[in-house]
Amino acid sequence: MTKTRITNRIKELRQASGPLTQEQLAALVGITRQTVIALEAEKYAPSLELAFKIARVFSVSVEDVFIYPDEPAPANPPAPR
Amino acid sequence: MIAENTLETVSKQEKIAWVSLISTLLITGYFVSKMFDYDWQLGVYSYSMAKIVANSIFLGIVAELICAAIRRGPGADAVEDERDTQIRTRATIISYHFLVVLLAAAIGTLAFSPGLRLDFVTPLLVAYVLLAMLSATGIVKNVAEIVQYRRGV
Repeated sequence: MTKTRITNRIKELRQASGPLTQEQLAALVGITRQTVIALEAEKYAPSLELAFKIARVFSVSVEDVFIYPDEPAPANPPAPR
Repeated sequence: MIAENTLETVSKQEKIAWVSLISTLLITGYFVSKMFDYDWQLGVYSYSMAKIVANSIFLGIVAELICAAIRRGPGADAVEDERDTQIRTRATIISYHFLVVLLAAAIGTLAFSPGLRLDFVTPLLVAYVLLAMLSATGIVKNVAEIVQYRRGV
């Protein structure tokens, strides 16, 4: 199974806040515990709305929770005109 | 103790997919085995057919009751979320393609089989074949859902 390109710090933030269990986080954002597991395993990319909800639980910005890697630079960049 | 990072625990929607798969297999198996007993030429308005249909409906109701019990059962987790919807949508697309292939195969068989005895292809038989296709499509949908849940999509 391929992972999504979006990585996240949910597990780290969850353990730092309490710790908060997967079940508690799931209840707070209105999802199933299995979705939290899939998110932490980076096998599921959440919707924008869910991403905001999760970030709000930890009182951080979305970019502090979810990381989208930079595109690799092209081998032969187009020459400037 | 349940390990936090495994998919060992089964969500309510996955349980419902399992119940749906097992009940569809049971009902289809029962129906097909009975129809083989009657050589697939049982009249729609016969007593035997009424009994088969009544038993199938009874099995379907039992399955629905089990699903309802799962939905209302214990567990603080939400019954359904965006991932469940996404999995169901993918499974529906897969089963739709499967149904299209089945229909094309059935039409191809009817249109291009020189040895096919047309007296054998009664409207009743066509109805049973369509019913079998719908059952098979339902099974494919449930299997596609379960596979996605198990893979941890």
